[in-house]
Amino acid sequence: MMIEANGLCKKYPAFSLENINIMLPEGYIMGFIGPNGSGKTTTIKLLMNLVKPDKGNIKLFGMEWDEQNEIQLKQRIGYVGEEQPFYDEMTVKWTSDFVSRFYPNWDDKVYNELMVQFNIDRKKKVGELSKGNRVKFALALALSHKPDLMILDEPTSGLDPIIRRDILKILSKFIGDGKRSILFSTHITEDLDKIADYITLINNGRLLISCEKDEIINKIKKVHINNSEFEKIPPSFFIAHKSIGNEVIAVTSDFGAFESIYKNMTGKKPEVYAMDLSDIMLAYVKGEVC
Amino acid sequence: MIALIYKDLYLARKILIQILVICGVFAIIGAINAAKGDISLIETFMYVYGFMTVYSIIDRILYYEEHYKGVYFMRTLPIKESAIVTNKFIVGLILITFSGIILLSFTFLLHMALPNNLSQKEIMFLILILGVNLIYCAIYLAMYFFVGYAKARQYVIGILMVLMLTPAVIGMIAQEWMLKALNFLFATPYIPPVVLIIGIGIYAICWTISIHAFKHESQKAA
Repeated sequence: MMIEANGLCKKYPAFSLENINIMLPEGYIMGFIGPNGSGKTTTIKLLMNLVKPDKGNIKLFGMEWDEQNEIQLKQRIGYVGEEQPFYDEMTVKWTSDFVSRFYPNWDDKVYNELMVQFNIDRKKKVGELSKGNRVKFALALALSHKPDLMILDEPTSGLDPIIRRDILKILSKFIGDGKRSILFSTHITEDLDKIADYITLINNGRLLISCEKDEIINKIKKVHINNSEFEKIPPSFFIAHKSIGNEVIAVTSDFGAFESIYKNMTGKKPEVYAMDLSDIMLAYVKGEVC
Repeated sequence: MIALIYKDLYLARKILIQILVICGVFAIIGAINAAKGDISLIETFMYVYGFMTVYSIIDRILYYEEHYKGVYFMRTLPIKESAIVTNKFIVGLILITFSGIILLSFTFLLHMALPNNLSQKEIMFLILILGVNLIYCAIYLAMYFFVGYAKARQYVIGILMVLMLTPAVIGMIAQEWMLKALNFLFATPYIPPVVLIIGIGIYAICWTISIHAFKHESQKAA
């Protein structure tokens, strides 16, 4: 396992993270989703050992964070945060020279290729880079030391779709050899529709769901049924619903189980619609049906 | 570690150059005054400058760390937390040594132009400046790691004001006593070295407690 996080808890005066579990195997991308303020960044800070959990334990590459292996672990992680806290006054070249000194696996060839691909002027001061180029530069730094695990904290928020697409392409290529993984936190779920293998959804510091994306897509579906049929089915089968006249549009928590109970009850198949991740998130978080 | 020290000094390179330029200007004024046989004014300037140099550079380095969230950035890199603290204290030592060398060189230069040799009073004053620099640099850095840049800066400015204004105020209201006290200070050869030793001790203590404080406080700040 690349990431094994069990029962993570962290309490702040105005917010608490409760019992977060994350398991990410080798060779996969996990989408970490949730609305703003749901606890994604806090969880990532816990995983990066930037804050210590009040409870729970974290293993990365099978190792727990401690003083002895802190450097070794960080050398195997590529981290891109929502903000890139570089020294704005320094040039791109100076910054990459500085960062490269801390990574024995730093590969200038990879870095140079990425910089050419991203078309970033190395003589520019980091503070003069656009938001998109700043993210690309952070990504180039994170990828150039050939990490085994990339941890990305909303790197694409505020970026235009073209830059987002470029970044997603690079990330897809990154896990190509099947030995590396990505934890990708975002609230732009469209990005994950394309590349994620696993999805973890949190809200208000609580874990709502964490499993394979296909399993989520297969389980959570939108069904159109009659009001009378809806009332006969236990509420635990639904995450959210809304009534329109005599009809109910409901979101199932386990479509397979729902379908079998529905068939037994009515002798017919339900009218079903697939949902994308943003609709699923909305149903879970707000209880709304689109 | 070398990369971190280099980073701090490189970030503060502009203010380092400014200080060297100002020292050069002082040296020229000093040489002109020395030719006329009067070095008291320029020496006073230099002593004040000796105090301010280290403060200004350390302050600028800490300002950059605060402004650019440098500590957060470094904590995402494979760097031990203790190295982040140690780096700052080593930079402090380098700057104190640097300012000491500049002051000493300047005093030597002045006396090359004068008939009299370097006096014991001047040597004692240099040692005293070194000791005081160590103490307030250690306190500033320790406070930075305990309470953050903004509060640490306020406290250190307060300390500097007290350090500078107290002798001036005492000098105004009790000039004779002040002169006696100063004469005693410089005529008693062990006082400045004692201040220097105390400074070294405080520096070492602040260094150690800062490492512990940073490990605790950085978790909160993140």
